[in-house]
Amino acid sequence: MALVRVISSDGAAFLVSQRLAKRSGKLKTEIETFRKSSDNSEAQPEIRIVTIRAEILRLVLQWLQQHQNDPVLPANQNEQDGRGDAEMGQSQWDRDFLAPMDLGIVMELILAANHLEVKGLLDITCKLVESKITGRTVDEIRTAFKLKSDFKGNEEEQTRLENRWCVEN
Amino acid sequence: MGDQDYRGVADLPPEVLEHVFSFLHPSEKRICRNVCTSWARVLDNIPPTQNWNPWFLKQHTGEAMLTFRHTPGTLFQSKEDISNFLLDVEQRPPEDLHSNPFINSTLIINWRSESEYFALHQELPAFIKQHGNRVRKLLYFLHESVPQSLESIPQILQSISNLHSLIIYCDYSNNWLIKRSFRFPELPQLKQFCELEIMGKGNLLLLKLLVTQYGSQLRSLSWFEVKSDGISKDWRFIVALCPNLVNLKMTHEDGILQPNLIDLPATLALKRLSYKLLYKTYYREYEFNNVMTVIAAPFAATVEMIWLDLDLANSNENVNPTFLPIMNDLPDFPILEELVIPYSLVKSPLLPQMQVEKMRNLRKLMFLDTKEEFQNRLVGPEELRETFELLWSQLSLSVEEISIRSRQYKPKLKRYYPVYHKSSRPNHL
Repeated sequence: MALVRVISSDGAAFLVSQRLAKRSGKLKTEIETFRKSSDNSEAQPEIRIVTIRAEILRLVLQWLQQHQNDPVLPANQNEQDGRGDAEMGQSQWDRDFLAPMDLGIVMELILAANHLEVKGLLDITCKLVESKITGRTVDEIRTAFKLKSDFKGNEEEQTRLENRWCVEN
Repeated sequence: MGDQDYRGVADLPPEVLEHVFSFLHPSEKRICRNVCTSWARVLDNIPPTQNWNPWFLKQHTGEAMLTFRHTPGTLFQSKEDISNFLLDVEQRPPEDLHSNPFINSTLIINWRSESEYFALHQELPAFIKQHGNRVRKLLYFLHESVPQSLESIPQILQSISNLHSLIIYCDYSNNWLIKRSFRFPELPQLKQFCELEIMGKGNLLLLKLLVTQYGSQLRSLSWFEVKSDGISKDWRFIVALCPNLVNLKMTHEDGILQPNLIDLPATLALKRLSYKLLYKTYYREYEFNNVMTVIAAPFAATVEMIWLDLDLANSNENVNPTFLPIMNDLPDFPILEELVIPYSLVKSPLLPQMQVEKMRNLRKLMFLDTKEEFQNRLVGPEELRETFELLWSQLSLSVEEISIRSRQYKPKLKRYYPVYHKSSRPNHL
C-alpha cells in the first residue's frame, strides 16, 4: 500500500495511505506534484502542512478515516445541494466526534478542513457553528464568539433601524 | 495574546464565514448582520438570491405536508409533547449558552382532532409565553375537523412575542371559513412579525383579517387563491395594505389571467416575485410573456428574482406553431438576477423570442419541469447535455448558470438535478 507522510506545523508525522490522503483536495494535489517532480516513482511523498498543528491534523485524519468510503463531494457543489448533504450526511459518529470539542478547536478544524479541502468535514463543522448562532440575540452571539461590536456610533443605529422588524428587543 | 492556540471566529476567512452563514435562516442572517462590521461585510456580499426565503421556494400548496416533514421544528400536538419538551430543557447542561430548545426556532402546532385541541389549547399559550421567547417562526395547522383552532389564533400569537414568520396551513373545504361575520376578538401587537404565508383552500377571509392588522409591517406575503374565493377583485386591496412588501408569492388556481384584475400597485418595491398557476388549460408559453409584461412590469426596476410556475397538470400538449400568440415587448429588467420559468419553454418555438437581452443582469436561469417531463424526457445524461447546449445556443446572454429542477420538491433527489455553469460549458460549441 502506497503511503504518504503528512507532517504538522509542530513536527509530528502521520503515516497514512495515499488513498486516504487523496480524499483531501489539497493533499491530492501535493501528492501529484511530488510524483511529477520526483524521479523515483517508489519514493514516499512527504508533505508539510505549516498551518495545522498535530492535534488538529489528527482529528482531520481521523474524520477522513471514518468517512473513507463516502462519495467525494466536489468542492464547488451547488450551495443548496451542499446544505442537503450536510443535513443528511451528519451521522451519529460525526455528532460524537464533534461533541467534546470547544469552540476554539472547532474553529481550527474549520480552517484545517478549508485548507485541506475536505468538503464533508467543512460542512459539518460550519453547521455546528451555525447551530451556535441560531436562536441567539446579537449580544449573545457576541459573547459566545468573543466578538466586539465595532460599528461606529450611528452606523449600528442605522442597521438596527433598517432591520427593526427582525431584531429582538 | 496569552493563549496562543485559541482561535476565534474572527480568524475565519470571509469565504468560510460565508459558508457558515449559508446554513442560516434568512431571519438569523439579519441578526448576524448586526454583530460586527466584518460579519456585515460578508453578509452583504452574499448574492441577494441566496437570502431568498427557502420557505417560499420549497413550499407549494399541495406539498405542504411533505415540506412540513422536512422542516425541522418543535411540534406540539398532544399532552406528551409538553412533558417531553420540559424534560429536554431540563437535561440541557446549564453552561450551554445555546439554550434555544426550539429546533430551528420553529414552533409547530397541529391539532388533528378535537380531543387533541381540548387537551392542550388552554395550557399551551401560557406555556409558550414562559418558554417560547426564542420562537421566531410558527407553523399552524387549521383542520376542518377542529374549527376551534381558528379561534385560538390570537391567543397563540399573543404568547409568541418575538414571532417573525407565520405560516398557516388551512386544511378544509372552501366554504367553511367564508362566513363574513367572523372576526378575531383582538389580534396582538407583534413588533417583529414580517412574513406571512397562508396555504390551503378557503383562506381569503383569514388572509384579509391578518393583513388588515399586520399589513404595514409585512415584508413577505404568500397566499394560495382558489377561483371560488373570487379573490381576483381583492388583489389590489390586499396588496395595498402591505406597502412594505419585498417578497410576494401568489398561487392561482384555475383562472384565466385577466390582466386588468391583477395588475399590482407600482408603489411596491418588490425584490422577489413568485407566481404559480395551477390547472391551467392554456398556453404556458404565452403566460410567460403575459406575467412578465403585466404582473412583473410595475416592479421591473426593483425585482431581483422572478419565479414562474405555469405548468399544466397535463404536460403533453404541444404548441401549435400556426397558432402562436404574439409576444409583447418586455420592459427592461435591469437588476433581475434569477429567473425561473417552465421547462416547456425549452422546446417551444417561443424560446428565441424570450427577449433575455432585456435582462442584462441575469445570472441564473432555472427551468422547472413537471414530474412527467422529468421522468419521460430528461432521462439520460446525453439528452440533458443536448438540452443545455440548445439553451446556450439559443440564448445569447450573460447567464452564468443554467439548471433544471423538478417542481416537485424532493430533497433526496436534488443532487440529480443538473446545474451547468458557464465555466464548465464544453468549448466545442
